[in-house]
Amino acid sequence: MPSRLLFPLAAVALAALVASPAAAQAGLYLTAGFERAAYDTESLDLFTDTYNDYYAQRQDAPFEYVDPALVRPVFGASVRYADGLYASAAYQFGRASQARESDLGALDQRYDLTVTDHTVLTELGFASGPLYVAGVVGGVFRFETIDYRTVYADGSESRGNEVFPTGRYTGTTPHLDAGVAVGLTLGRVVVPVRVTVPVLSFGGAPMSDPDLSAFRTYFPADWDRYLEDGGGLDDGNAVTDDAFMGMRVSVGVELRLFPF
Amino acid sequence: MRRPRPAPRAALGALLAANLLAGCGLLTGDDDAFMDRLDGTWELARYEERRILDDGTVTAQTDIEDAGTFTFAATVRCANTGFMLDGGDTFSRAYTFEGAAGVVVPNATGGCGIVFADGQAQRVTFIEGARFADDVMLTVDTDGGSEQVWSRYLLFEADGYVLHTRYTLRRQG
Repeated sequence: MPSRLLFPLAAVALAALVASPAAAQAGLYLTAGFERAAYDTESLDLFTDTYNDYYAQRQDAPFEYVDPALVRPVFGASVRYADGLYASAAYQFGRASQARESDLGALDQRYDLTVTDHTVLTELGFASGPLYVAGVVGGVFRFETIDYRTVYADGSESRGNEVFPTGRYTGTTPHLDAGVAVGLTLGRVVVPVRVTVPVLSFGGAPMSDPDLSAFRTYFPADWDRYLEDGGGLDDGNAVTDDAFMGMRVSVGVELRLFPF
Repeated sequence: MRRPRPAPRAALGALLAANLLAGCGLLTGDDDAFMDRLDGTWELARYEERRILDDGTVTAQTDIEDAGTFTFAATVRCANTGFMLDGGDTFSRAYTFEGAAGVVVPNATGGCGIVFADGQAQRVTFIEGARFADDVMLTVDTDGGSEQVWSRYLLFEADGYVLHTRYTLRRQG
């Protein structure tokens, strides 16, 4: 088929879909999809740069930068109503983890950055035929963990406090997202696309490990400043939990389990 | 008209609620569960010290079987001093230790001390008492009701090795 016909045909098909009689849809749906969640890597990048500079002479392999976005599967459930007016309430769960490692010769240092989200979304908009467009407001309960270990030459992995900054640093970033969603309903299946950005944050605390039994319980941004801060007073140098926010784009498939 | 079945709805609702609660940490209590698990008497079935050299080679330094006995409880009486030691709260326990010569228990004073666990039961800390920066944090390698294996690492960088001490505890009775 000539490619120049594709666009007009797609436009006609879309118009036919939109013009088709709107069937009221209400039900409970299960969701699976993918999400790209961006966040601010500036403080973690500073840690990577300053740590690698400090150990440049003995480092066989430096830390690499963390990825600037979390791309991960998301799962959940939603309740939807579409009959001219469109409304939905949804819950989504998502978790993404990335590992980084620095080889310091006789020992390695490793960490896993894990971000776990519990999101409650409310959508309100208009449905026409199989399509809907809605505004989205989402309450995001985000939990971050930097699980930092020391690995010795025989492969033994230590979580002890003999080498800094080994520890399990956690943060919580509850925030409010807002954005838009568009979707296509095909029988029992809905294909939604959502784009949201954070509009209100309740985070800003240092990522910390209260069980560390040390003066410095925060995860550092600047490694040199951290080494000079023996008393643990410079938590302005910490990676803070409000760094873990940004634009989220998700696409998924929602399957109606049963109608209301 | 087909009526929605209540059972799947209830099950999904329960699943969703459990997921939310678990995510918020409300259903987890790993540190106090760990401490509950620790209560009682444990044989230090094996005490090992080994050197991990910079090239990855491991040499055994000490290996003692039947190396002693730990007793963990909210409150213990220190055998050597006669003082009562209060382990404190949900997340910590007092302990007494009687063991073989050559066995090193971090921060044990007069054969007793206090330990606490972290939120994930991945680390157990032997408290120093006066200077918390001297607390010694051990890695929990195995966490079971009948066996616990804990590891301590000490760096001797100038000498080119790490001293790895492994404590294997087995519940008595």
